[in-house]
Amino acid sequence: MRKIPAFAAALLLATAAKAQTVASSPDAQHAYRFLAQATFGARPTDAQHLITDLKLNYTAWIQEQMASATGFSYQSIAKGLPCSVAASASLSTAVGASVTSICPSDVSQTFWLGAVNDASQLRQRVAFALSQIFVISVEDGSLTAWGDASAAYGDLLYRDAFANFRVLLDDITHSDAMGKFLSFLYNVQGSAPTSTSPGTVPDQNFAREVMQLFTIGLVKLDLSGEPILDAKTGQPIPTYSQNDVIGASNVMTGFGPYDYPKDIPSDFKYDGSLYGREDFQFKPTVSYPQYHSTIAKSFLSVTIPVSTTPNPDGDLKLFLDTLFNHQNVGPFIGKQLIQRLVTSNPSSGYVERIAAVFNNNGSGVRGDLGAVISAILLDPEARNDSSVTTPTFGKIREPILRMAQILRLLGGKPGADGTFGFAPYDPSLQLGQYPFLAGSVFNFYYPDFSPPLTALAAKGLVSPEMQITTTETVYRLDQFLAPIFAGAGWNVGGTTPSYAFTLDYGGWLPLVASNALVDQLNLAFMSGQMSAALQSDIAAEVSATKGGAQSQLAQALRVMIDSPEYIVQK
Amino acid sequence: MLAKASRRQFLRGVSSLAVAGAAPSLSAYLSAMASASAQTAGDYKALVCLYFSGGNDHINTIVPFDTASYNAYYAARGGVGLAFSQSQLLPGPSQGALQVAFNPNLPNIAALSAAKQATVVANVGPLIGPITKSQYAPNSALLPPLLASHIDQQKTWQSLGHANPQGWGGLLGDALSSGNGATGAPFTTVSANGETILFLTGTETSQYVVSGQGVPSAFFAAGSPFANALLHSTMSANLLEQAVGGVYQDLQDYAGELDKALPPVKSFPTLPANNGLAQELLTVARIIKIAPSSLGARRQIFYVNFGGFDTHDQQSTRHPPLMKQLDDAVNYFHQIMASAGLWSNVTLFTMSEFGRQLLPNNGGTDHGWGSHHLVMGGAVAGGIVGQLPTIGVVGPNFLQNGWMIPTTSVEQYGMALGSWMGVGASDLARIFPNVATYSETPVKLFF
Repeated sequence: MRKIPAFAAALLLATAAKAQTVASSPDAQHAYRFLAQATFGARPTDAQHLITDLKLNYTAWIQEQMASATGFSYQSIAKGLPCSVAASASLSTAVGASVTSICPSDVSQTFWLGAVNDASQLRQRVAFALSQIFVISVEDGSLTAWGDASAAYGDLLYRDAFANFRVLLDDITHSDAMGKFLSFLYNVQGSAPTSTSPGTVPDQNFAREVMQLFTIGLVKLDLSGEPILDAKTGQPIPTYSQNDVIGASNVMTGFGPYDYPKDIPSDFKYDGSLYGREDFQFKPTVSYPQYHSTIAKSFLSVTIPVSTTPNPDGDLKLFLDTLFNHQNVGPFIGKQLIQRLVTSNPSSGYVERIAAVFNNNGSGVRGDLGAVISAILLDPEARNDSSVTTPTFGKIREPILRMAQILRLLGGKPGADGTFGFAPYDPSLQLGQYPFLAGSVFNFYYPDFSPPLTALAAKGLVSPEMQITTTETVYRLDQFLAPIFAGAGWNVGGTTPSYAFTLDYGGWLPLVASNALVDQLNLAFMSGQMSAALQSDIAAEVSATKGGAQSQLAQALRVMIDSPEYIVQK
Repeated sequence: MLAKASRRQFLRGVSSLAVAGAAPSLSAYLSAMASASAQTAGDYKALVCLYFSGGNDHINTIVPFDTASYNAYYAARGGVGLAFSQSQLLPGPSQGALQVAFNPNLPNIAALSAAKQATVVANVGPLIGPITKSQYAPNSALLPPLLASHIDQQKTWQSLGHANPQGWGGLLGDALSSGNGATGAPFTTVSANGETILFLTGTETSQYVVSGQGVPSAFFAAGSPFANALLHSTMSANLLEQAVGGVYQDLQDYAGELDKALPPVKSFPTLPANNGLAQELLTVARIIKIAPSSLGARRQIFYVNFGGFDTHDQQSTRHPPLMKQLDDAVNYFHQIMASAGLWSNVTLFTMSEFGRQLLPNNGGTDHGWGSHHLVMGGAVAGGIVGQLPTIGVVGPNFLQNGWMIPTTSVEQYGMALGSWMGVGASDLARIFPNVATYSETPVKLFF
């Protein structure tokens, strides 16, 4: 008998779980609200487990989740997925006829399999948040032929979700995917111009963005994440200058793929002959001292003097240690994690409490991400009922979060090819947002985006996800989802039905007849936060819809999922 | 309909007019914001901002071509594939002894230049005021803050400061919207890339958002429970819900007018394949074709986005295809506008957060400062404006690290475009406050 891999077994178990409902109660609403922040959506069994088995002990749930090991793996799952025609066409152009590697788009596809079916939901949700801070874009020109590296990167974020931040930073800095995406692989010491050759400079891409986006940000912050102002000018104080970028760019020289010299003996540069080779893409990148800069390197008040012996690993360790120990990291990273999980505009006290945990987890350890995540979810501002009615509280559920919740709660099953079909060849179609497919290292939206001409902007508050919530995108998303709800799945087959995924309405259809539908939608999707007005609007749409229970359910879902009340996770 | 058409302006107007106790009537509001812009009946002008995301390598787009400049360029760029051979280049306009050529993948843009329908604007960038090489020092007060940072220089190009809440396109829109009438005003500024754009953010005028896929429709019947479910949140206590509700309100108020008037895609030439920029420009062209007649709009500002320009590595394989797509997309847009007789009513201009360093790294180029730009349309004068630089890091126009020191400010550039749109002098002086620092204000882009 064929052995079923651990993850596949877990998947079968999840699928076999009986459709059931949870009665609405204050406990149930609290459980659903917590799970909306910590997972991609609570199924009845998830809520029941937290309410009944764990007696709403959130700490116990978090510990259980952090200990959970399901065997989920981007590398092994993505390898089993077929490249769609469009993907293999673009890939074979790049790599030649025979392709055995992972398709870049299948890394994005694998995300959905994990978000929907992996029982390690907290780890999946946090890894998704990390993927929006430590961004790679798998269809970027630097990665289109290197799906294996991107899959390994997905596994890295998943593995390190609760690790120490210094470990995460180290792993990212040694990942083949990041090395390609922010182009520090094959980076070499610059040279001064001479009469016979032009000067060059080391690539500054990673050196800049690791400071600006991954660790310290642009300006000095206090513990609550507010800029510290210069006493004389009243202006924010830059954390670094172009000279620091140049110094750091010299640190980031002499790193290449694992096992590189055996294959290419001569020049140290990007080489297409490595296409299709999987092994090195999974392994940490390594240093090649002969290509490492030996000039003096200054960054963030640290200077590495001129050396006669190149020391890439030592220089890199000093650079990353310096970043890790910078006072900005706790508030800078902590605030963004709060924004991804709980609320776009955390109070300064909330950020300060999280930054303090980053600085010291209570046992004298700096950078304990597990402790940070736990503190974010357990903080009074996240948990108190009063937050739900605080006008500035909450975050917009971006399209990925909406879709993942729909698939989890409505029994979404992959199509015949084993994927949910979100092939991101034209991101302007379908969802409008794809995991691991932001337009650049700056993610899908900026953390300080404030929607113009709104009360939010007038108060100086932000809503990053509003940058991609526009007349255009709400319309496209409605048009994408409406036929999916109506047909209980995404039929991509034209005249012959062929499903990218199907939905299972089994547990939901009886609710339509019993008038319990709105109550259950309210609890399961909105943690019991639906206003009386929205409840009556949905009920009115249901009764006005002809064509039977499925059509009525579809219309109820469409109205709710489009509604601003649902879109704002509170 | 009138009240709906200016809902967002109206909301802002309530506060700016400071009428105690009662909201002003729409006519009172419109007369209060009557602008100084000189617009005559029947005329139509549109600005189209073409934004290169990532920082375009301007010097491989508009390449030094006179022998001395070319040799200096070739010597500096050296690395295989980063410097074009002189014979590949498409000769362009001259400025004194200096000449530029176009990237080999830009034949249509080179042809527009030859026909004096494309102007090269040399070495534009964010500036506090004129600055010389000897005045440069990191973090000097003479330098715009946070140079070479993508986000911050995008903001600086678009809003003339890295922390300004409004963009200069939006501020020009504020000055122009009253001339568009009630039906045209909501479409004064239009983002065609699906996202809300800082450049188009005004103090009163709300940008309408469409995409390369087309324009949105109001998919819910006005007055239905569905509509109520989406719109009652405009009154929600929760400010994020309010913001999302406002998006649906815009759909209900405006989408129908635009959607029903828009000519179908099939009435246009076939799009170049796999060209997202051309798709966005097609949506812009569809709107421009009906804006004067069906919407009553006389002045519009559009934004289209073209990404992929952050070529730190593999530039020789990544940048040329971008140039090809640019050329195809511009040509496509030009053909549509020309056949509609609107090419002289439209000005397409480029922006990008920075140019790239003159000196290459191992296969690519890093973030720079100043960059060359293109302004295209039937109304431009052609040739070169601004000052072409002396090529080389030892010369006066480049810092040692290969950043080109801008000699024309973004404000001069923007003011020239705003002036063409007919925005009045006092509004221009307010929107571009530092432009008086420069001798040529604004630069002369048009006949």
